[in-house]
Amino acid sequence: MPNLETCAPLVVARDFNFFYGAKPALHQLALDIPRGKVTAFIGPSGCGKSTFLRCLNRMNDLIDGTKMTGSLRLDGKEINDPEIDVIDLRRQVGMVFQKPNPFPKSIFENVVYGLRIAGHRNRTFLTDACEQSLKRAALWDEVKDRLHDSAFGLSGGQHQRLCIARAIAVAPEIVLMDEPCSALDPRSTNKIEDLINELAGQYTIVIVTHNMQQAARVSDLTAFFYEGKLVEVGETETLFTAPRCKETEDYLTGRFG
Amino acid sequence: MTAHQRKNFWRIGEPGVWLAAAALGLTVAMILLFAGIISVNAMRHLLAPKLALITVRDGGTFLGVAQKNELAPEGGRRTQYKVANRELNNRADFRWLDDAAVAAITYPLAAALVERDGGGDFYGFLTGAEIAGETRNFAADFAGAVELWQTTLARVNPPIDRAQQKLAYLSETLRAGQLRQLRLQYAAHNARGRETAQKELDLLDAENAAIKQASVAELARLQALQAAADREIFIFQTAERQTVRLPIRAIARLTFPNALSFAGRQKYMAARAWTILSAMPREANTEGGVLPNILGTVILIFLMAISAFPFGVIAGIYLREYARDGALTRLIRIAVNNLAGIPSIVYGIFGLSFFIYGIGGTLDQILYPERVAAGITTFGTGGILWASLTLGLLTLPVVIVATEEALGAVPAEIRQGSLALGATRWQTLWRATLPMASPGILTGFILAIARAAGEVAPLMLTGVVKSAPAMPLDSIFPFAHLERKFMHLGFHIYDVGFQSPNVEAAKPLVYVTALLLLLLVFTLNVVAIKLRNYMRKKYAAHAL
Repeated sequence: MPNLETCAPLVVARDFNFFYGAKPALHQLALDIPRGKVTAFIGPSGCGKSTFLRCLNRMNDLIDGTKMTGSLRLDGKEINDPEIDVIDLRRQVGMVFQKPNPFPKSIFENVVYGLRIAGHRNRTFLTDACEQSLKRAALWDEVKDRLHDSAFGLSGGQHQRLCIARAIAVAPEIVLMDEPCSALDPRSTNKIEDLINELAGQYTIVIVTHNMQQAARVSDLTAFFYEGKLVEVGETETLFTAPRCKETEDYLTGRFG
Repeated sequence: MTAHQRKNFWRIGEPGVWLAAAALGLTVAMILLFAGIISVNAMRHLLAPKLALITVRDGGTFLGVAQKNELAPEGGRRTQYKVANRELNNRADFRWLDDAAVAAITYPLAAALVERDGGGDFYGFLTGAEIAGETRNFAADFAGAVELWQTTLARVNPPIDRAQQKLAYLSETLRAGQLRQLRLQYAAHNARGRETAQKELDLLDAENAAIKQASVAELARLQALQAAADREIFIFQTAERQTVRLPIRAIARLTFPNALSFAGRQKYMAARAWTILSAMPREANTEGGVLPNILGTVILIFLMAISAFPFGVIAGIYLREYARDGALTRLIRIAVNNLAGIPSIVYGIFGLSFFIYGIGGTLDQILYPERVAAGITTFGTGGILWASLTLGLLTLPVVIVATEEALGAVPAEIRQGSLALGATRWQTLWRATLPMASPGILTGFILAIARAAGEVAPLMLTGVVKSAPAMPLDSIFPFAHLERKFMHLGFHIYDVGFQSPNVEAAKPLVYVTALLLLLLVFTLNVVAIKLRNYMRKKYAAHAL
């Protein structure tokens, strides 16, 4: 995989473990996520792929009694460092959730939410940032005339693109997507996939999905998780056509999971 | 019914549906009955009565308004008439008469209904007047008589009102001066600053003496004005042919109810309703209006709201968003839920011991030691401030629970979405969670207020009175006198209905007051619903 090795990885995990209380959820993880590429996490439910995603922006902190050990670095900085400013970290790591979660505000206010809480007040700056983000999220043409209407007036697919616009408005280094299409109809899913492909060059994207075809369509790299372990990671085409491990093959062919 | 149908009958749950529908119907019926009874009885207080001239078989006539008709104990039917003219009827307002004893009933157009400032209503026929030294006669000029009464009142009353206001102001100033005097005397007892205190005291003495003198002079002027005004007289004749001279100033309203046109009846009703809303109570609360009660209730609700809302919401936020879910939190939650179930009179006891004797007594000790020494209490006695704090405490648990539940209903995705964008917990709460929870919080809050607005028991221990000498708001500095005692619509019902010397005569007013209280609660509930709908539209969480 020559083209992957030339990229300096953005996220590096080594000997990484994660526990819910005493229960281990991730075991001895070693993974590089390359810069500017789309990486897909696949695997059966409860295999730890979402958990790992949430480790990247420390969202697991919200759950009592969780613990991380080992090394997980973002751009060289240790995420697991207790000294790290979680707020700063979350600004660098955008996240899109499974269920679209627009705020009870106008479309404009939704997009600039992250900027506002970071202390940006300049109206022109916010307006420009809003337009930029909505254009990148391929939503601008649909909402440009009603930026100040409630975000709840949009459809489900538009909601999710709005959430993507909101995530990229703060200019993160990496965007995490946790099954972003699982609550959407096929047409909206298509649009989101197109959008991911467009964003691929500009952002590092990590996407968790249960949809194998989706992983194949949008990702450059695929990692297969099984029972808290990273079983196999490789270039998507290779992994899908010639998996090295038996578990991967079984999962891909639908023999379990 | 086939066996199959019988089986389905139970399986589909038909009886359950019927039962539910019946329960709903019963509830609606009770609400309608409740509102109906109160409204109908209240309306009777407003409607213009028909003044009947009754001729009795064994001779004699009287004017009366039929109240109710029932089976007499000794057979036949009998009617209760309101006959008014208390001073002529051995202080009785009502008279029972067997229907068989009635020879004739007519409704003479000339019959006059006089509402008096004191002594109850008067029924009679207007015969003449002595106005400005002139004697005049009235034949059937009803409009002329009413107009003459109004113009004369407009002439004699304003100077009397002004004199009364001035006298009230003087007495209030004198009271303030006397309290200052007390303070200086107290200071003079202490060694430090004895001389300056003495000097000021002498000055104050002179001041107080001047005010006293002015008061005496004003009182004399007032009495002279009143004596002069009392020479303006309307002369009436009762149905029993007795002549009664009524000073115009004593007539609160003069009506010829039988001569009223349709429009006149509406005007009479409007005037009666306006009197209730705008006038002070008269005659031990059984007549006149309920203005101080409305004001007292509104101020009470307002103070209660601004004392309970912030505390309740903040406590609810802390419990839901910040407190760790441990044994202590659970204990607090149980305590809050139990607080919501404590009888309100217990809150009254708490208010009395904690707010009044505890905080109020201490405040008095610190601020007014001289008054304490003289046995005068300021904050250490019931007042509207303590009553509203007590009621605030009563609403607090409901507000806390409402806040907690509203915050809990906000989807976790919203919180996570905000946090994932780099917001702090505080920013998330302030910008995303709280706006979404606000409809629920506000609705719970307003419903709690509506509930507490009608509470009477705790007020009886914390400062409500049947007749307050002054309102909590007036034109004398510092305008809001929150230590004052106050009147309240709910307590008014109890007082007028069960504690007044003439319960029968006061009954309509009880219903009117109940109706007002009902309208108040109804309005609050409507506001709550409207607000909830509006906020839901704005922050519709369920649109997701």
